[in-house]
Amino acid sequence: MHKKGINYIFIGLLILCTSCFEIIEEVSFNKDGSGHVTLTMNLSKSKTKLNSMLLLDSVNNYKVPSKQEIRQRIAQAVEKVKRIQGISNVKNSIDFGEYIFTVSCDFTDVDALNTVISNFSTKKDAAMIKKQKHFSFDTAKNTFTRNYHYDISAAFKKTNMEDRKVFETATMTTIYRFETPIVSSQNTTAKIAGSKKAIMLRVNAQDIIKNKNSIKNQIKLQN
Amino acid sequence: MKKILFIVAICASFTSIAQNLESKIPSSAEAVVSINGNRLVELVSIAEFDNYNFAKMMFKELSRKKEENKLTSIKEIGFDINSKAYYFHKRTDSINYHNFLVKLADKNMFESLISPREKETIISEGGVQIMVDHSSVTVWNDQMLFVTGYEKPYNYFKDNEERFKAEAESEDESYYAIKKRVAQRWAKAYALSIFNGNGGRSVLNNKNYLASKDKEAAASVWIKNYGGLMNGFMSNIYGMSGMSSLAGLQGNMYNGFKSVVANLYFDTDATRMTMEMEVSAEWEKAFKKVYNSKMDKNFYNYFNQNDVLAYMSFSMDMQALFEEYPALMTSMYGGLMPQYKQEMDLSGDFLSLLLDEEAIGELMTGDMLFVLNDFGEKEVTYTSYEYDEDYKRKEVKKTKKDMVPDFTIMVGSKKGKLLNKAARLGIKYELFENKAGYYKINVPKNEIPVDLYTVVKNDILFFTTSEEKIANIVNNRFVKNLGKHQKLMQKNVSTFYVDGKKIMSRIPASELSTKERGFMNYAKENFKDAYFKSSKMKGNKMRSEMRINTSGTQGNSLKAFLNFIEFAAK
Repeated sequence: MHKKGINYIFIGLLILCTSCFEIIEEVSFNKDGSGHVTLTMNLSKSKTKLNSMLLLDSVNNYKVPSKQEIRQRIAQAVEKVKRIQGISNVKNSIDFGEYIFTVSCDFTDVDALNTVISNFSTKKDAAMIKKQKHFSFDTAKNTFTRNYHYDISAAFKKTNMEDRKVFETATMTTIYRFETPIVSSQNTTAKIAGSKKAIMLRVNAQDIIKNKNSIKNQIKLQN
Repeated sequence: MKKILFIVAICASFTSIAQNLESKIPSSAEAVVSINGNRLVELVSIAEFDNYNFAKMMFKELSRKKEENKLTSIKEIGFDINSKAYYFHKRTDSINYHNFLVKLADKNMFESLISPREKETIISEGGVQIMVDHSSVTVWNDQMLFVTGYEKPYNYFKDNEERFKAEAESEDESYYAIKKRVAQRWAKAYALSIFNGNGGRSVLNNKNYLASKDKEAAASVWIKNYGGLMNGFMSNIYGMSGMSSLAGLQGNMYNGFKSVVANLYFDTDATRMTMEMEVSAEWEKAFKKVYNSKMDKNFYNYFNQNDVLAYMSFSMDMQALFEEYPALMTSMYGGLMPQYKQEMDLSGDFLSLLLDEEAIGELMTGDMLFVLNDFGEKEVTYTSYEYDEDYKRKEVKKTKKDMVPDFTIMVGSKKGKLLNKAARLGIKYELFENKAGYYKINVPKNEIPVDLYTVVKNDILFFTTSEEKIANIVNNRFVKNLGKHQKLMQKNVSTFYVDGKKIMSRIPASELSTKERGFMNYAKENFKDAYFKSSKMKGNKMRSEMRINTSGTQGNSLKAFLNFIEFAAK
């Protein structure tokens, strides 16, 4: 017990440092609406803290998973994604040195991505996704829409103060690449590349939580 | 003259009522908690209390059911705030009772808090009002309020199912309904017997209880027999019926513990809690051997109070611990699993056969000191991304400053030669690096974000994050400065000390949110340092004390705490 006490005192103090992470969603579209997606979660900036956390049993009353458990969970998720129709070439990487995790895959059309999200959602959310698709590509209008139905602000209000802190400095970035030039985008924070073929949107988690901004966007391409 | 007599008579009647209240607690109570209203009101007046926002919120909650005359003061609850209030726990073979006894100042005020629906259930019997429901019984008259919450143990009713089923009032009555009816009947009879004071001998006949009382304490806890109480809880958990635990299973796990007394004090510049635990003769003997040693004086040479944010010290006799442990283990676990007592006994003997207690005692004497010296900043690199004009990302390394603890760990050991041999082997396998008279441990940078140095000197094994410190230790340049801490460490088996004020001032503001910063500043101004210490055995008692020193600027420490709650709730 005493030994544990020491761990908590010395290492527990490290947890006072605020956490920091970024999520990057990168999608490259082909002309026919198929494409390649990479999701990156980069916790490198918090690695000191994470290293300390992994030595503990629990933080803020949450059980801290072991590296083994994390690997297992990711492997399970990847297996699940592999079985989804329209998804192929699923790859993932785990780097516990830098705490960077990626998953990437090819898709035949964006609806397959909606299926992926539905597969990891509750029944209620899955039904919502059917109505309000997270990814949609309207080939007739040549418009790509990124959307979601979650009320993040409301969900966030349910969490306690300690948990909220984790998101204070987090960012979410989306990068979409197309073969045809981009004409316009609805989200004014998004920046269109000089080549007009790529668009990047970086949003602070704080702004998403406060409903000031979101990764929702509608991108119109040249006909 | 008449007037004086009258006043004396009133005073006398008041004290006699106060005593009456306490005398209602039966001597069979397992635990008693008393709240000294008088002392609390001395520290924080009723008007001051009523002014707190959290008090106002409490009043609002309490008077939610009231249409008019909403509460505005704690006085309006109808309790006599100036007297003592009591909680006690009592178990019978069938029911566990949690009881509250309070003196009433104004019965009508109290009654006005009862909801109209509940009011309909009130019955008047022999000058007292009674309210019974499925989990509690409330009894009161003009002077006194008694509330008991009762639990009906599943096991007892299961064991006696046939007997109670025979008592069914009609053929349709379910066993659940019977249980409810029977338990309610018992609880009501019990509540009335306590209220009317014919519940048998009072706890005031218990010398141990009387000796535990302290007028200065704001609140006190007395547990008649901690071992018995815990064993009772355990037997409930492990599914033995209440009967068997009352009958006293031989050699139960917690049997070594006897009475426990705890007192809470709010002094001008400190809040203190003292605790005293009696142990059995067998444990007393063992504990006295284990906790007999004084910390090796060498340790004090490596302590400088100006360089300390927090520390933890232990001083026990490791050899004695390993000698006594097998026997203690047998007595503890043999009691928990009586059917394996022989196995426990044998494995205990085996353990002492295998262990060379003396050698272990030399390797680790039992003296330990962990010191948190400071927080340092350390530059760490991390991976991030940069994007070109086409938003193609490139991995880049950036640096940032992380806060890491500086600490020193000291472990008493008389086997310096052995440890040095081990260190030399460590060098061979590149676990250690030989420095000027000390070793640097090659910790994997990813796992532990600090440097770690080690050396054995003067029968102490050191680990520290500071190279400067270890060099000073090796070269006899360490400057000691003990202050009050020598006494604290010397007199106690273990001490846990935190200089809260200093710690808080060392945490960079950038690491905290705005709210936390406000919190910290408030705490910094009003709280100083704190410690928890447990002293050596005195007679058959183990004593420990927790103390939080406050700045004293708020009048007294209770106010400091209430103000802190007020501040935090904002």
